[in-house]
Amino acid sequence: MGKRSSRVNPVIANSFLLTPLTFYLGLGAVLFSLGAIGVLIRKNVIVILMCIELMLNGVNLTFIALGRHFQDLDTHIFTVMIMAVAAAEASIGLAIVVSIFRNFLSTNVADANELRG
Amino acid sequence: MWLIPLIPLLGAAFVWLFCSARPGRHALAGWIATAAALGSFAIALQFFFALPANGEILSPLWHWFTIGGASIEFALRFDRLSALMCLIITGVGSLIHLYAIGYMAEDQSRPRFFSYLNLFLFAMLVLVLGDSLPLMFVGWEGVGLCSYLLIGFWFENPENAKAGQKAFIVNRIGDAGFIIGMFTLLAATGSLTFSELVGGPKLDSWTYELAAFCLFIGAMGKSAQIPLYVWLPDAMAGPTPVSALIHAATMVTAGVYMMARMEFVYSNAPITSTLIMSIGALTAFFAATIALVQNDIKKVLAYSTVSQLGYMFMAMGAGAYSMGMFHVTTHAFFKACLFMGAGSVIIGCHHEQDLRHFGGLWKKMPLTFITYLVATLAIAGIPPLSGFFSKDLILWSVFSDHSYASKVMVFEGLALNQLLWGLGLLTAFLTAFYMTRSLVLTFFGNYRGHAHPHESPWVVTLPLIVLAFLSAGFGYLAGHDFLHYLEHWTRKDLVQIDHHDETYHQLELISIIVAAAGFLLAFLLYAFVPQLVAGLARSFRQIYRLLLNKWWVDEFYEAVIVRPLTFLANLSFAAIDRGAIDGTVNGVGNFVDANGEALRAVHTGRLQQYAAFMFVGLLLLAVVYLLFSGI
Repeated sequence: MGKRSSRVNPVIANSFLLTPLTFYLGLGAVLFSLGAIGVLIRKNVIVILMCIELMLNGVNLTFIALGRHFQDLDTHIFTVMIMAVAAAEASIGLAIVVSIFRNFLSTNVADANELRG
Repeated sequence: MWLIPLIPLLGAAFVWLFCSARPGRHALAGWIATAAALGSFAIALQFFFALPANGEILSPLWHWFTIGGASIEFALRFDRLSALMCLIITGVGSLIHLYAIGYMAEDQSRPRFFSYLNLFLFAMLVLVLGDSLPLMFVGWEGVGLCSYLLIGFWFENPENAKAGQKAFIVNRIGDAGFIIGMFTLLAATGSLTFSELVGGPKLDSWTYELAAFCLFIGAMGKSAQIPLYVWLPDAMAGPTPVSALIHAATMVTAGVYMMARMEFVYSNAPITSTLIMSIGALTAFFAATIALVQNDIKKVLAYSTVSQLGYMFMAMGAGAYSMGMFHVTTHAFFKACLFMGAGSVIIGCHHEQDLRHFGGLWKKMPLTFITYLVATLAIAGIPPLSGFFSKDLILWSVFSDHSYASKVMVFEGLALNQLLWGLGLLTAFLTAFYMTRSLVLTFFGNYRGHAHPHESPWVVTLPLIVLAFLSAGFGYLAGHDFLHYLEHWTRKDLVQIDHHDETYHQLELISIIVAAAGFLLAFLLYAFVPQLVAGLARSFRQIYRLLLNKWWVDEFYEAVIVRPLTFLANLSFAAIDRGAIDGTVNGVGNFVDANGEALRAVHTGRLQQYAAFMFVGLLLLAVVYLLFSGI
């Protein structure tokens, strides 16, 4: 990973350096894991959607932290992309949830198993 | 000239399309078909008179195909040989059509019958008129198809359908030989047109032998020679006019015609010719012995046909091509007359065919009786009726054959051709005997049936009378002119008639004596001392049963050929078709099906389970990556 931005604000850089990278990565991992566990075990569709947001945020945080660490702006682009996708996903996901609810009168994912083989 | 075969074809189509739709038109079918046959006859006659001496009329219609260097035209050839055949086919065929109107008067599917009959004529005319072997083969297969359709005409009875199939299958065996012979000639000369073949290069003798032999196998099938004759007697399952048509005018003569047409091959193949002569003689004798004891009047006639065809083959084998064709012609007259006479009796007795249930019919059906009598005398070889001349010529030509056969010594001083001549003479005796038997059993004595016999309508008797006249007079009137007429096509018979030859007259005398003896013996035995015949049958029970059951040939074929083939077919059906092919195809399906079934369990429709799989999978991938990426 090449260092393309040589001019870095020393204050921010310093304050960033005060906090170890591992802290951010750890927080990202915790967020991601919590989200993942939520997706796997919660039954309510809306909660599951929220847990997905949590996972995305964990990833975003990791990206930003690493970008800071390696002084690379590419990660920001990814992060913005993820946020856009997350917004789209949330709106479509909610629409799907609404129509699932109309069909099954339930927000429990276990009830929507019509695709069973 | 293309009109000759075209008219029956159009007739067939017209009858089929126009007459079968409404029952009101059914009666019309026969008349239209007959008119088509007659029209064809008229045109053939016109061409016959327009035919230049030694000449031929060729009518190329279109280019058919090119095979190798040989270009095959769809061309018709009208020369003396095909002119003769055309006249027989359309002439006798017309009479048979007319007769069929009477015979089939009460049948429900007359349009079908008459369109088949016309189609039969068409196919046979193509066979005869075709200018090349492939075109001849088209007609060859056409008559095969039509015989199948017509023999199995009353297909509601499974026996009849089976007889049709038998005729078809046995003929296919012969056709394989025909095709091989055809390709042998193609490979050797690079052409298949008759004129090119005749004028083509001289081949080496083994090529001639091979081609002759293979073509002979084809003729064997069509013309019912040993060992492929078994279909012909069973062909009696069809309506009688069909039997008459198949036996007398069309199908069975195809083999003889083909050999006469390919005369330039056969005259160069002495060994095969000897074989043909032997098989012909054996067939003639063999079939005659069977005919001695048959009780179905049509079966007697069918075996008689096989036997007479044996004579024709003897002539072909001896190189007496025009004499063989002479016998074809006279045989067409008297055998058609006999078959239709038998048919007339069958109508009169309400579809009774068993000789044992006839008797004394001469008072009730005088016209039928007289014509049947004339034809019987003709086939028995009583002079001066036509059968005498043709049969006698054949026997004489076999006797004086100087080719290969005369060099094969069977016994001390007895050459093969002399032996075959003896066999032919014996057959002549048997022929006179069994024909007289059928005559006496049918028309003399007391009536033994339960119906009320009556004379047939004029459409039935008129053809009989015409044919009776022809079978009586044709030999005497046309005999030697006829041979001269034909020799221009066959160019040279290997045997030439010499009227000053002493043996010629001696042999003639012998034949007359033999025929008369057979006739008289049978007449005396069956008319006056029937008890004696029954006694003879009892005391020679073994032989009688052997003959009655046709030497058990059908049973022999059944055991030796049909059974093993059926077994093999079943085996390959089970092993190859079911096992290998179906197994592979179904196996693929079953494999996919079973795997799908197993994997169904995974598709629970539970989103979270799917997600869990995904995570586990990703985790595993990550672990693998970490382990193997060398970090």
